[in-house]
Amino acid sequence: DAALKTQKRRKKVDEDDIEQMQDDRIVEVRERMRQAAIKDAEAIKDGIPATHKLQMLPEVRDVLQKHSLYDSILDNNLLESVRLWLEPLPDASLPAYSIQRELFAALEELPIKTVHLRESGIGRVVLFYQKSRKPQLGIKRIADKLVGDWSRPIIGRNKKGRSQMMMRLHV
Amino acid sequence: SRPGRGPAAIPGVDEEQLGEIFEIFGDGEEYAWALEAEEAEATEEYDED
Repeated sequence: DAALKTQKRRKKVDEDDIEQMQDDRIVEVRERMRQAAIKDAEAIKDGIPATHKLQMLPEVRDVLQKHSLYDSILDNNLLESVRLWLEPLPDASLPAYSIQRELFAALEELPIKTVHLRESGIGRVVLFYQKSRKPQLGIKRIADKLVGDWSRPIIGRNKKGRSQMMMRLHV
Repeated sequence: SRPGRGPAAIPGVDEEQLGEIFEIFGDGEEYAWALEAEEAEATEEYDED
């Protein structure tokens, strides 16, 4: 009996350890993503190509594709750095299409709740993609769907109210 | 404040819901500069044609 208890405790400790390691990894990726976004913005201001986000993209894609990391991604506000990556650059250009494609694909998959939207501000940049004429049609379609999905828990199925509400957010 | 901003009557939507929507999606000001730059670009292209 005692042995079983020890085993159980060990298992719980292992699970906690794994969770902690995942959290640490996500926080570390989040911070490096932030730095890459800042460096790219500076590069554009200096008139040189922005490459930092692109260099890091394969790693970010790997993280975002792991279902086992979803809780950690959302709990540790990785979405804030996703927002920074999707933001228009200082010359009003959008990030590379490959960045848009990978990040929007992840936004479609992640079980994002209102609390995560509030923390990250990701809804603001997705609304911008919905309004901007620059994104490709596939990206705009996802943006459109996400804005609908994310406003539905708040306004419910009142479609007319929702579309009027979104009109108000137009500049 | 300018008309069309902030809480205003939308049928079936109360003030609290409106506040939450603004909290999540912003008021459209944050990236307005980029949309304005886009407009300016589009106008320039049109003028050139």
